[in-house]
Amino acid sequence: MVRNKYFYYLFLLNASINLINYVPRILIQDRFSGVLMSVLIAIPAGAILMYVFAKMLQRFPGEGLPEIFHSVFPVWISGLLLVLYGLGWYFSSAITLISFMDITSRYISPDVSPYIVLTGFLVVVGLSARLDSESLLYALEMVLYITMPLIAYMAWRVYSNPYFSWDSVRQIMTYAWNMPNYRTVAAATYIYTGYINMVVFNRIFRRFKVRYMFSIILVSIVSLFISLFGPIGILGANGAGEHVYPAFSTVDALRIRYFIIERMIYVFFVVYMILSLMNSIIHWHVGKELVLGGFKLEGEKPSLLPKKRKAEWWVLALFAVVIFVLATVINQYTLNDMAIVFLDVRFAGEILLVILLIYAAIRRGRRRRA
Amino acid sequence: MKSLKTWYTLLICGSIMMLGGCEFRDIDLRLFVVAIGIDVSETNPDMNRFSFKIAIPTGDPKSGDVKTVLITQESTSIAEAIREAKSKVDKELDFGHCKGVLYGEAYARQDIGKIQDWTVRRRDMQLLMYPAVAIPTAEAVLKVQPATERIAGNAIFLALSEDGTESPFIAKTYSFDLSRRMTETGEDPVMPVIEATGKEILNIDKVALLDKSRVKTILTRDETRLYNLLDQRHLSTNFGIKIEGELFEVNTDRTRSRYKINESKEGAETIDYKVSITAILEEKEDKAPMTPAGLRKIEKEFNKDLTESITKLLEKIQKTGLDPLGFGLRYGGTHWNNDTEMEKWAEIYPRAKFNVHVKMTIKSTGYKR
Repeated sequence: MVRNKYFYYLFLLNASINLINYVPRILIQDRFSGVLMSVLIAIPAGAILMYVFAKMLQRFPGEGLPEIFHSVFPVWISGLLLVLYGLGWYFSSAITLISFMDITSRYISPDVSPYIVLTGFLVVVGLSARLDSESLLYALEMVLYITMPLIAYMAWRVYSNPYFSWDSVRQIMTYAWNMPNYRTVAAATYIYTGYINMVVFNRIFRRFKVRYMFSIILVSIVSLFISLFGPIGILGANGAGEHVYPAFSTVDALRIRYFIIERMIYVFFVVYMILSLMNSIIHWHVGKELVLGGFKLEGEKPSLLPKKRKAEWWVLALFAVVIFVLATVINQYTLNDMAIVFLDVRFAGEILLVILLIYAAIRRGRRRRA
Repeated sequence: MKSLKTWYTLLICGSIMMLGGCEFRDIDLRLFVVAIGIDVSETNPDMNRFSFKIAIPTGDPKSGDVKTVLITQESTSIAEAIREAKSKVDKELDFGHCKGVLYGEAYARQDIGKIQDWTVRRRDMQLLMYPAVAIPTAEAVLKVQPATERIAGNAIFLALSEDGTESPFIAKTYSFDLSRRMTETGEDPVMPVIEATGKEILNIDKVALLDKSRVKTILTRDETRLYNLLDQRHLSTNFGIKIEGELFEVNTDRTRSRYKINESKEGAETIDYKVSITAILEEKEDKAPMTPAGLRKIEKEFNKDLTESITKLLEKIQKTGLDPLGFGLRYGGTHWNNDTEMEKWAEIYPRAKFNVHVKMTIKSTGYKR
């Protein structure tokens, strides 16, 4: 049983990982046409989804999504839904891992084959995803305590840089009166998506309750501000659109004067490697649990455990193979398209998930009364 | 549990086998290119002359024996030149420590866009490089071996980065800043100018103003200092003035420049500059002790003098049509008519007047009265 604070960690993890999952790039692509409006819509939209989701989940203490769905839907519907959600959630980590492989070979070690890097990632993620939910949350807590101060330091360095062009930021702000669009809203709500992890982690929470929505909104505004205006201030209102990874190029422009290493990008790289791996581990864990739940292998029931343990290997192996194959066939453009499709589908899927949960909660309430 | 162990063993063995396939080269098999120079070719107009200053790693930086090699290569593109240069050396060329791109003056007056794009695009080049214009040629500047240099190729960058010397005449620019200004509407690039004077001394005391891709004007020494005063905060420099035949010099402590674009009257727009300087008296010819009234008088004279020269500089920049201080971007950032604002600005800028207001405070006369 874990306490409530781990919910905020799950949120924080996803909010910080957006820099890898193409969120800045999608936002920046739209900088001259409605990104600010989209962000303004995304902030309340994401927050409301998160709040309703959390409220609904409170009615199912100690239950994961598989248990909830199986109790209110016919087996085939819930099975199908769970497998789809599991795969969708896993897909998020596929984008993180593949783009991080790309980043590694682009910025850090061009000479090392990217597939060796990816194999390393997959081994770490695959083996760690099998750990039980509780250990993962403890690991996550530690990782965040190490990385968050560094991220805050880097963000501060970006904004206090004398070469940061506030005029470019103001120029983008004058483009605020443009119509928002779905793609950018979907990308901006990615900041909030961490709460989806609760579909599995709810099993181990003791009396889950979400409070301090205000600070969650504040953190998401700050992280959107960093991912959108950081690159614009450093790389320019026009120039920011020219980079494949705007966030990485921005950090590459930072210099640490009195330190053993001179380029901030190495610190940034290590921080985001840890975060991407942690994020992928958690996504694989959730994805695996959902997929197994779809085949009625849910929770820690002792009778099912040996069977589940065996099936787990197959699911994880499949996850790893799919990512490896994807990494060999796709290029930079398809990866970006994939990320956009994922973000779009994800937002719709989230809304559907919340609706399904509301439905489940109503059904459950009726049954209890009857 | 047993099967798990077998799996681990297999994995570890497998990963060792894969390690053999990677192309990593050890540090003693690398040569570090510390600066690149680009010049026009004298023989072939289609070709450029690329120079690579290569540092040879030595064990101990304290020993002070600096070893560098300069390889020059004429080629059509820089990518080609690097491959050709590679066949002239025995080790792998590493650009990870490349910290300078020098554009020869003749080349910089043509088009630096291609090379600047290359430096940003290439994965092992930093965005933290120092670009500069080299006079007479990049090759000549790279050949200079200052006696003060302790680490190979270091001297240029210590000066350009202001980690070493801090001179009011050096306009510090990074590669990312240069590319930003090259793409931004309403802000034009600048680069410091490095001159090779003699065999052992490099002189960096001018700034070159560029339109989007080529050098248009090179400011003089004094104009460069004023430009830096307008562009940076807390510039430490000196200013001199002659009052009734007596010379006074002050040393600036804190400086700050702000401007506003005032367009209350259509057709008579002004750019209002406010420059505030806190200074310390450093040199005076007059033997008599300073009085507060005397100080006020000097301040007043300085204000008048600086106002005049800054206005002259701004008007000179305005006449070239360039916008290194980013007035256009400020205008765009404060106006909401996004489709027309830049055309409007193109109309306003040539006719705008400059109102410069300098406020100098001499807060101390040093140790002596």
